[in-house]
Amino acid sequence: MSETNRSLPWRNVIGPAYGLLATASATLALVSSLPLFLGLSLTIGAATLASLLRVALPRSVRGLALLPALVGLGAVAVYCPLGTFPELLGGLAGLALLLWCAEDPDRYPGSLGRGLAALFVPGAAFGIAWTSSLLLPAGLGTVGIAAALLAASATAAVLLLRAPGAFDRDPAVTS
Amino acid sequence: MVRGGAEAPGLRWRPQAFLLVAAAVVLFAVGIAARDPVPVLVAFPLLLAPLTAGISGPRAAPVVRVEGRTEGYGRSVRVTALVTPEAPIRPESLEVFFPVPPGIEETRPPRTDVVGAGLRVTLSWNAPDPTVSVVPRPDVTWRDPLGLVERSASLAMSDVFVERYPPELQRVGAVRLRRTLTLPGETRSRAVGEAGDFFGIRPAAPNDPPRRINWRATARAGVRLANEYALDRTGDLLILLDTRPTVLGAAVDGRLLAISRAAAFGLAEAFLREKSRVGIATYGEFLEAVPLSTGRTQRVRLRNLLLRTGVADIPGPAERCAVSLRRYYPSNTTTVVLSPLVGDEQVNLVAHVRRRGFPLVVLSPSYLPMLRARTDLPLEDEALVGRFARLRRREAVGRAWRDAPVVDWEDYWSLGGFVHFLRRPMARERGG
Repeated sequence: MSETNRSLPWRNVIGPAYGLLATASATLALVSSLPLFLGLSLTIGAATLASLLRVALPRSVRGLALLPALVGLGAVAVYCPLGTFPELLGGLAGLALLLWCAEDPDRYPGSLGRGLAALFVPGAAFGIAWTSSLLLPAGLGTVGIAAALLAASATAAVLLLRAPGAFDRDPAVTS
Repeated sequence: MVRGGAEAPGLRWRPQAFLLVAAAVVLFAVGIAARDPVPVLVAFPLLLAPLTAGISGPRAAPVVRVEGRTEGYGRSVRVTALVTPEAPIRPESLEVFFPVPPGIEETRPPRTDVVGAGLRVTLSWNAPDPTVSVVPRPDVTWRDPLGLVERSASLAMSDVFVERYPPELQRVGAVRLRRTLTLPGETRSRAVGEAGDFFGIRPAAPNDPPRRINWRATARAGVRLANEYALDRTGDLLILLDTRPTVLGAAVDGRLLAISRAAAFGLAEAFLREKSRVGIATYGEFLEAVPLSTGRTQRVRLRNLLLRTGVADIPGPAERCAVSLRRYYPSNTTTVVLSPLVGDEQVNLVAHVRRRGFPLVVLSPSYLPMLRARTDLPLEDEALVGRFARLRRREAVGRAWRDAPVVDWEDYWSLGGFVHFLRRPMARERGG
């Protein structure tokens, strides 16, 4: 917490969020077109590697431990077939990944509970998107609408990432 | 002194946020190219999470109050800080990082506990040498629950000091110093003690000796009453630090100066406790002086001077120091010179100061223990080098002895010899 390169106890590697991430991504691998052994080893291995790196890496580069988990989840998601259930599983796996981010062993006990509260908005947005996909007819048009919406979201996200001052409050004139 | 928050920078994205957005963009592209909604729905939470984290956090630097105190004894330094954020920031969302001050080592990783509405940070440090230093301001950062964005907090904290010096200095204040004022009672002390002029009567404490009990007043009042006395001011002390650079190099010079600063502070504190007037002067290229005075404010002044003193870049001539001293201090002030006595210039300073009428004692922190720690030679060569270094040191100390008594200080955590020397009656008369 107060040290640059403090090594963390290894018991902090495995937490509930790690279990959730491994389970969600392994379930996604089960429904994907990847061979069973490859899919399971890829997802569980990526989650385990990310958790290990998060403990082993120096504090300054500890954020990069997220990379293996992202690669594992993304690779499995690409090989998933069309369908309501894989879409639901994909979104839940994404939320599980965010929860895994919250379970940083650097932080105080109870970070998982606080992380759950922070998942409300992404979870609700995903819920709306998923239920909307149920109502829309399948086909190229749906993907086109989604593409336009998501491209706009991605552009907004990139612009905001480049200008974090947009989230600041202007100081009062009298302060 | 309470230091307000500096201009804190705004919101900062952490590497995880960039990774999530980059992964989301790639998954979108793949999903659209492959006409597969699964990567798109995986990416959806990943894209929204950083933006939500940025919006849900505080819109300006959160204000955090830090209250610290130092504990421990000798080399052991334990700093406990209570970090309390203003509502609605929760203490769990804060990350606290205390830098270790120079000259101090960390012995155990910091421990942080959530206590009520704040965080209690316990730091375990070790001071290898005597030191007077200020605990640096901590970096306090608010971080969102997912760890994607952070924002530096604005701090309101009082200075926390680490003051470690040889324990023998606690009792050096009993040494009788020379007075420089014509009438001993000209500056009256407000301190109350066991000897001096009669001050008043107070209810007796259980450990008051019979001689302090005012038996007549006790008989009149029906309860035990004791006499109180106003202490006399005992005298004046000037502490002079030679901060000029030497041939030993910046690292050794800096360490020697840090030890000298700690000794100077310990001496000043001991004599101020006895209501003596104490002044400190540091000489690098020019003289910087705090004139003689007493009281708690003087203690703060002296500590501030010592904290901002470093090894000078350019050495000034010894005579300039002696001339400048007379502008701030009356002659005949008992003077303790803290100098490593490395070269001729350091030795000459002793002679010049004495010739200007300051009766002085030299306390010289030796550089030999530091050189022993640095040598990387075979055993025979190391012994030879050590012998030459010791001879050279003895020669320098011997030359300084012609003008003033010198205490060679090799064990930095012990000043028993120095205190014993000061307590000898004749020691004060030397060089008068």
